[in-house]
Amino acid sequence: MTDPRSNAPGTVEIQRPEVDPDAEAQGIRERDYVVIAWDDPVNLMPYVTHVFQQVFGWTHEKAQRHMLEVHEQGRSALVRESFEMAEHHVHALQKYSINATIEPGNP
Amino acid sequence: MRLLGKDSEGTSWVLAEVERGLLVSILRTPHGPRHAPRLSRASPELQAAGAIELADELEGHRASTRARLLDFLEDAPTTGTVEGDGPGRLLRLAPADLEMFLQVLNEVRLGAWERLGCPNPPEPPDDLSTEAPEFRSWFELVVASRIQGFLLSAAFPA
Repeated sequence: MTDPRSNAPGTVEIQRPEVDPDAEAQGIRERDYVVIAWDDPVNLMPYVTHVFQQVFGWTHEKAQRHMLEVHEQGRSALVRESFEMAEHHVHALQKYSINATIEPGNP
Repeated sequence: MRLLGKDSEGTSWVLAEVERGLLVSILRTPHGPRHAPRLSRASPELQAAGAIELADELEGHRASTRARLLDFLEDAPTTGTVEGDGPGRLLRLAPADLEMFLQVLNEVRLGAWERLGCPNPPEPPDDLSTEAPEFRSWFELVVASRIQGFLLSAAFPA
């Protein structure tokens, strides 16, 4: 018995699925939102470091690096991800009273 | 406030009665809602896309964590003595409760700071009078900052 879809015994022709180039690009765009943390004069620096560790599971060193970037440059891009995940992280940061927003990665 | 010990299940402190009283006092002070957060600064379209009213959610979160912490402080058992301050209260916080404590203290700090007009830097003037109308807000900001800094350095040393 041979596979009726094959051209020769023992071979199976697999049809390549059609890939919509727009859909492929959409997959990239879906991960293309950036969570930004903004500087403020009131949150304590160790607190901001601690919050980054809690929300993103980062090491103390990585969290502190981003905290210092916020402090010295006014903002830090924390993570790049889908809109839903970015929104989730912004909510988490705002529950800790960290000033955070979402920006499109490639506006 | 003295660190007693820390293990995988939590961290313990002894609070002087006066410290506990200060905390209860600032937590009981009614506060209006803080400014509404924004999802995006870059794009009104993105803000609209989120279509989520964060303000109510955050105010509910703030109120519930504040109430839970007040329960904690009011039920804290008496223990030993705190040097120079007489009997103390044992405060044992599981990791999740410590997070809540830190959030509440930060809420107190930020609420006071906003009522003061968002001063930068957030430090009281040298000539601040105890009779000044803004004294209470400065008091809350300073007390909450000291306790928050103490908790962070004791429980999460770098």
